[in-house]
Amino acid sequence: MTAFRTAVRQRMCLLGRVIALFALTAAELALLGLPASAIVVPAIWPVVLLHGAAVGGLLWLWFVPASAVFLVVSRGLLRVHRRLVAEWCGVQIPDPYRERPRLERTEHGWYWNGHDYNKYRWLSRINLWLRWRGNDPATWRDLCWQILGIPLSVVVLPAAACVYGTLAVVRLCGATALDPLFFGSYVVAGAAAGAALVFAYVSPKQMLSWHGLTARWLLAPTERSRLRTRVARLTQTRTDATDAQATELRRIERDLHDGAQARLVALGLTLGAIERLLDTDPAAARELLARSREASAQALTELRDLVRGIHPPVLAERGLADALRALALDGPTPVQARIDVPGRLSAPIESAAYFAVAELLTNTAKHARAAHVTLTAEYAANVLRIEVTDDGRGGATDSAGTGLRGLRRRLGTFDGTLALDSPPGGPTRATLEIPCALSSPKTSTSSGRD
Amino acid sequence: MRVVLAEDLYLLREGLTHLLRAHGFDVTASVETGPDLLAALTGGDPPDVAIVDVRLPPTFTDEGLQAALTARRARPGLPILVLSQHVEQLYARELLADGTGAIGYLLKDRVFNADQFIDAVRRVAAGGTAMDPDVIATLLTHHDQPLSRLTPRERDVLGLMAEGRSNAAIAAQLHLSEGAVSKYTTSIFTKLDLAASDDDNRRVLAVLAYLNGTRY
Repeated sequence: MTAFRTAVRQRMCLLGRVIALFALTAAELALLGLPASAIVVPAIWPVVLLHGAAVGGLLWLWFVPASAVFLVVSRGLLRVHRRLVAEWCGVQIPDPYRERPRLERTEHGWYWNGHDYNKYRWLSRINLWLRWRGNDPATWRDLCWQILGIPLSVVVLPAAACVYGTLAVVRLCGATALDPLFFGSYVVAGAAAGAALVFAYVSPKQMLSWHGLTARWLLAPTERSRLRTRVARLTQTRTDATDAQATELRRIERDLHDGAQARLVALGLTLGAIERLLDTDPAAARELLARSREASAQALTELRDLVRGIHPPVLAERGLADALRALALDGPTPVQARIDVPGRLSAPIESAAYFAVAELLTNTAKHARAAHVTLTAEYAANVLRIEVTDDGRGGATDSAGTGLRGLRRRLGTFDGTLALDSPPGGPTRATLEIPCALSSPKTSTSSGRD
Repeated sequence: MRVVLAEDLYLLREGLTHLLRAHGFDVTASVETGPDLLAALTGGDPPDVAIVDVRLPPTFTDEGLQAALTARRARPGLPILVLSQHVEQLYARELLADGTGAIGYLLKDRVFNADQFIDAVRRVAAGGTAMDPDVIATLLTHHDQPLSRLTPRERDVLGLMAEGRSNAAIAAQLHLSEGAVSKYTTSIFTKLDLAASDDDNRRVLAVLAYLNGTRY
């Protein structure tokens, strides 16, 4: 008996979702009423002619905000719709919208919106906004969905329309004898709606998946717009990558120039002096020798730090898993490491992941005032997923410094992402994910204490 | 004393050979690659001490370290001094893990100071420990309650003790009397709750185990 009850409850829950989605689709259709009411405006022009311009002005005052509200609200509503479809129907629909272009200010104080110059900021913005919305095919596909959503969703309604259509043709042909039948068609329509409900009750899952599929057809980005977004992103990350590489090379050049290179020059000079002093003043020569030994040791230390910054030796020798373990051991805060990466990844990805974790751990040590840090790394389904969690004071944001934004940019080159969850008061959890493939089975050993 | 030397850079290998010979060591084999090293260490006639570079051909990864670890599994307590351009906590732990001592792990720069380097080689050959000050420094910077109870002087002594120095060597380095050093060590052992021991090597291993162990 209870099993039956649970079954019914589950079914009612699914039915509730079907009804909620239909209600949402209906609301989207109803929103069309806002701009549609504008049709009333020209229809009322004769009235305006009769009653003066004041009434006409009022009507236009209605039309403009009504359309604006329609544009803004429908996009928000459809975003909710996509999320619900993903959650209830199991159909993922990514946002198809183009990114809003930025308004640029020229040196003469004019505004450039990508199409024309304008002296006024607000005018240029409105222009930009309308162009952005109007040129985005997603706007028009949204509109199609708003009109077609209801009939497409309820499979029974098209059927009802067919019945109506047939009956109307029959009536036009003058078959008045069928009049009672035409009247009866209302009954048929009612029965169809009822049938829809019954069908939804009998198999709500089919209803949901049907809705999900139709929604995806119109609400998902087209292949063309998906590619367009992808190209834009690739262009951006390529620029970021080349910029980062150039900056890095300049840093290495500067470090070598001011560090090891300068020290070796000094060392050469000192050796020359020692050569001259060797016969005349052996004691001074010996002192200089001791100093040059110190200088060479210092040059070595600097080179070692530089090498660590370019490509940490432990990463080259052992791969990512052991390099992360080594990283966990080096910081001032105790880090508990659970690393499960069963082989070597490609060198650039290992390096990016290593430096990302190093930066996250440095941030934690610097800002979080944490007592414990956990580092987990796992590789599953072609995604490397690393999590750094601390029990510190939280409140970390992207805007706090350039660090996290830079990190995101560098990960972007590999289509990697960084998710940050850091409520004030802590704890802070940073999750980074990089899609990649394993290149070879595990060759390194582990310390066995992790 | 017979030494096996593994180093792939010709100049450094020759330099080390000269240095060791000048101090009365007998360099029985100087090898260039990981497999050769392993053969020299596990062959019929083991050396008194081996000096090993971490990075060796053919893979140029941690070939030397792996050979050292394998050889010590086959011959527990075989004295090995590992040299590297960089020191890692992770490697130090792996070398110390079997707890038998006779292990050294130093930066290559430490060869510059010949006396200290030869002292380290002798210490390792005698079954002692020689840890690089850089490794110990990292261990000592960890946030750790019991460590913060030590006075700065006691921390200095603890650091040198962890490197593997004897009381006499610590006294010489810090310009103290040996009696003062042994007073410091007793106080350190009490504060860290460690069992005191007269045996230098056991003492060092206890300290290193403590410093490593408090990480978790």
